[in-house]
Amino acid sequence: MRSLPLIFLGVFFTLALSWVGIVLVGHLQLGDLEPASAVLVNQEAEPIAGVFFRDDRTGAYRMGANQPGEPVFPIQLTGSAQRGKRIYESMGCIYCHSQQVRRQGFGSDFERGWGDRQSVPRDYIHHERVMLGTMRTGPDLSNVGLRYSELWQHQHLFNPQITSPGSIMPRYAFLYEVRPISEDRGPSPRAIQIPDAFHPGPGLEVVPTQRAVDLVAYLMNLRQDYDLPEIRRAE
Amino acid sequence: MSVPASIATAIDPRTESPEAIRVRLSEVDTSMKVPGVFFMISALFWLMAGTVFALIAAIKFHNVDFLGDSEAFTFGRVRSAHLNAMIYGWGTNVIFAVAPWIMGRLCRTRIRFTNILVIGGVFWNIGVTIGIFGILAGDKIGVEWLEMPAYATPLLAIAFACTGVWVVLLFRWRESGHVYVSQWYFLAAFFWLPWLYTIAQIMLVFEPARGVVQSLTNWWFAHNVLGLWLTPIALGAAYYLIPKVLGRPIYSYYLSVIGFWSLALFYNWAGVHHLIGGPIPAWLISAGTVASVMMVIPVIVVAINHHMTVVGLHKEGWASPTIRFVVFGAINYTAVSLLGSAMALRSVNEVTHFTHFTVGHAHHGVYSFFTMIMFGAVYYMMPRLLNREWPSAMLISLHWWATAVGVTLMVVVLSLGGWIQGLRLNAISDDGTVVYQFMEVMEYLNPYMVMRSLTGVLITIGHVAFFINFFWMLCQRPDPRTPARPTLLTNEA
Amino acid sequence: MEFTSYIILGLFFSSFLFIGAACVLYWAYRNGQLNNLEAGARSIFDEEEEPLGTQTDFFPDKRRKSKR
Repeated sequence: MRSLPLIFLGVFFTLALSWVGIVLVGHLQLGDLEPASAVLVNQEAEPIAGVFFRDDRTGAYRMGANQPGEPVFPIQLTGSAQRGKRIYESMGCIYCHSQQVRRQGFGSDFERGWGDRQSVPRDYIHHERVMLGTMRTGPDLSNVGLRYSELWQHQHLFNPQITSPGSIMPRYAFLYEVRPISEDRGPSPRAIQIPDAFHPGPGLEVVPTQRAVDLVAYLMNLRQDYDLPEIRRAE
Repeated sequence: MSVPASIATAIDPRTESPEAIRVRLSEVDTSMKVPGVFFMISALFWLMAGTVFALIAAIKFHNVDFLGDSEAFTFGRVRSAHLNAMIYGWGTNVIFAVAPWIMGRLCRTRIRFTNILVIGGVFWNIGVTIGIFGILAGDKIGVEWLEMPAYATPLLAIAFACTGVWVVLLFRWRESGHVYVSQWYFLAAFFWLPWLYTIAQIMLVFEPARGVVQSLTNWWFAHNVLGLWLTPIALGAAYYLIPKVLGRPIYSYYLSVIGFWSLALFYNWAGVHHLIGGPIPAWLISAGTVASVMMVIPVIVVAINHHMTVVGLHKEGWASPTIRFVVFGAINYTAVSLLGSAMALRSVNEVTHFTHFTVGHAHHGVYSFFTMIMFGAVYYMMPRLLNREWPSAMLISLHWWATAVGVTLMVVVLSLGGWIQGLRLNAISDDGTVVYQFMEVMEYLNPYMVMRSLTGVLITIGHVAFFINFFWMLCQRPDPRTPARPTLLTNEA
Repeated sequence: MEFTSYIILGLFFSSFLFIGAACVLYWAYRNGQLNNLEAGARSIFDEEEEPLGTQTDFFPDKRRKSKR
């Protein structure tokens, strides 16, 4: 073990092996996933169960095609929601919130109401930044858009104690503008309701900045409530 | 002679006069003085900055109002500022100080053109500074361990090219006929990190992969920064320092060969265990679990080698600051790795995943193991670089006790709290409802979070002691009565 | 592509890697890379400056007291 090329070859191949195995093969298997309809069809346009079907003539397994005329999922985020994803990223939400529902029986994700089906790779194909998360200091957010209203999200971001007393989530009040109510135009239509105990004071209103609007738009779009061919829903 | 060849000859130390070929250790030490001191000063400032970020983040867990209205210091940003300051600021700078020095000593070649190391160091520190300001300013990338914004990375690449290539070149120019196990670890680490970092940058930042392939790349990268950068450097340093300080060769050199190659083979597959239960193909998760369990082989091998070398010399070891830190680190390497293998099992992971147990485990690995060994290496290296004694034995003791007790308590608190957190989060009653509401579990954790902050304060005290001792040593004038000796701290004095 | 063809491809590549690794190991053995490994363990000691059998690090104030 004295030769530099020998050591180099060894360390090169060991890392190359894991890169090929985990990243490259992972990419080959998952990199070309496309949005799909809830049920796929075979070449005779008959619905099939799951993703693959057996071609009777050749005996080979083939991937089904999307059912014509049916909507395909997941859908691409646009506009405000897409900008909101960047806010989510820059605030470091990922350090306390995951975005993955584990299967029933593994953990308590279903029982906590975080989702009624397991998350699958196809759910994430449109995420420019996949933030599955590794910590649950707060609840999972895969389906947070289904659980709460926009007002709830704004109040919760402005001060989590309004909606979740005792929470250790930081407040994002800096995404909101606290300003005097205009005497000419009256209260802003965009202002959010704040309960008296948390209200900044009489004659003031709390108006979300564009960043807050975007972030809430993103959160409201976090939903895995559509069916995909690979999902076997819990009965 | 062609131009590149003549440059290569000019910087090749072997082209010197024959009588200078036998390079003494003291000459290696002297040649590393400037870059070593530079990297150590940088590392220490990052250590202090990282500690401050850590305390802020820890306090926020039990006091939401603390810096609650500051956008730059919101939890999500301070936490990643802490991680990046520690890994890329403290960890990598201290590696740049220690690794070329040990490499030079083992290759018996003095380190030439050290300006290149210093230039690399300047770029590296500017890069990390920009990166951390970028994180606090909100330009962070939502990939764990890779948060520094894309505009900081070219600087880091230049910096690594300067320092990393230099370490490999040192090996190329070695004078010693033997190659020691530490040299494999260092060489491998200095090959692995740039490759990992480049691929992660390409596949996650410049041309992001589609869907969950990002998550796979993320954890392949992040776990390997620990496994293929910090770990081999710390193991290599321990393989050098334990026998060197105790004056006893390593227990079994054969075993170290097996240990090295099994680590190289298995560690880089293990990262997938961070995605157990996630939307990832089951076979990949199984591969990650298998590799994590196979890590038992290199861990046991290294444990035999390190611990058997120390056996019987505990009293002598206790008298050496280096051995105190390094053996503490080596013991924790065994512990943290075996725990890590267990945590990759699905049934254990179901409890520990998403909880503070994982946070405790990360500190167990990066602090109790890596950082403690690096502290030991610095205690051995600095007197030899500066030809000066550490000014205060009391501060060394304080450093050791505060950090060893502090981090052990922290790991115990986080592991215990995290385990109960995981059990309570998963608890389901017979009628299919959860036993504990989410908020109840979080409120239960509050005292653990307070204790975690207290252990953090203890560790901070240790860091301050180290900081003072280091700069006191730098400011000291060499004692004119002691003649310059090649190495200090020997019992002949 | 059928699943069996993936497996055949995988087997092909893994046997390729395995044979490669075996060849390299054989070369290393023939080349003497694995000879006299234990001597490497003593290569870190230096007769003049930091010899085998001598402890080389102490707390600053305890230097004189320790003797082995």
